[in-house]
Amino acid sequence: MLVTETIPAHRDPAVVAATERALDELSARCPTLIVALLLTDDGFEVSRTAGERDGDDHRLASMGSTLQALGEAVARELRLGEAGHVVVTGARGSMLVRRVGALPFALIGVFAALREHDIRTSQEIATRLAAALTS
Amino acid sequence: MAEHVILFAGPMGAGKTTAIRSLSEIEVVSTEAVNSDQAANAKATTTVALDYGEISLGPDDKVRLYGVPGQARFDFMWSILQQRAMGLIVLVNAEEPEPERHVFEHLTAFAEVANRGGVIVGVTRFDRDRSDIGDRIVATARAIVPDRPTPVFAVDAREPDQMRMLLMSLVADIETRAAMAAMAGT
Repeated sequence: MLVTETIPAHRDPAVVAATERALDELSARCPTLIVALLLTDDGFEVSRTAGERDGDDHRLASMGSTLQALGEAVARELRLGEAGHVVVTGARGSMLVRRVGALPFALIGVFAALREHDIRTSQEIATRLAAALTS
Repeated sequence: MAEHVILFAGPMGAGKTTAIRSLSEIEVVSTEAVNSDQAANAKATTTVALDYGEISLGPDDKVRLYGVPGQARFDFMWSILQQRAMGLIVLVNAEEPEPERHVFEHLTAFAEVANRGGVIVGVTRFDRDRSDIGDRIVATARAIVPDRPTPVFAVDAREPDQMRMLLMSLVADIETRAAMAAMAGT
């Protein structure tokens, strides 16, 4: 499968299908997951887990894109090495953002209770998705 | 030391990131992402969080430069960044259709800064034979900020001297307004 340059990634059926499979797996393996999204680096939603949508559908993808970029900028500025993931934690849950391999995509997961297992699982799924999208 | 926070706003491709790179004395912090929708805009990358740079305008004046994302789907960053800002530079590309529409949209979205501090408009890629574009931009700025003149300059965002002149004009406007407000309050 190729990440094509002629069709925007968020409208490419092959990319959408692969990301949907990845999100299905994340959902199945992480019971406290509330919602997960795959998005392009510039904040376009590619796919998301089933469930109720809020009034401003694009906001989560945009915020995820911003957090991803800020996290990588901070890691760069502080010379922390390759950026891993960003976690924002509140009283009622956590949001995790991580890049999909070295591709211009990010994975967002919003969890009621984020555990180490969820972080590892998201990394594993993102790595496999990156391989699938570039193979 | 006086510190000013200045925002660079405007649509995608207007030259905000380039302007900050032209001005900044430090290495600019950029958050560029691959632009995945080339059909909508042919730019290779787009800002998704902010650009950040700094410049000293004298021994006692430091200016923090923030570039905001040009695309409206990142407007939550517009709200965050304008909370501390004292000045606004709206950049628009004269080669885009209806650049005055972007002036309208951004002066409206950043009215809080425009009213609190100073505002200036920079027009990039301006063809001096197209004075109608300049006239429309001036008229739009006057309609949105009717209580005082909004300076409009044709600039090349790649030219540090031009961008510095734009910035100095804005800082002078902010300081004049602050001094006048202080005098009115005494």
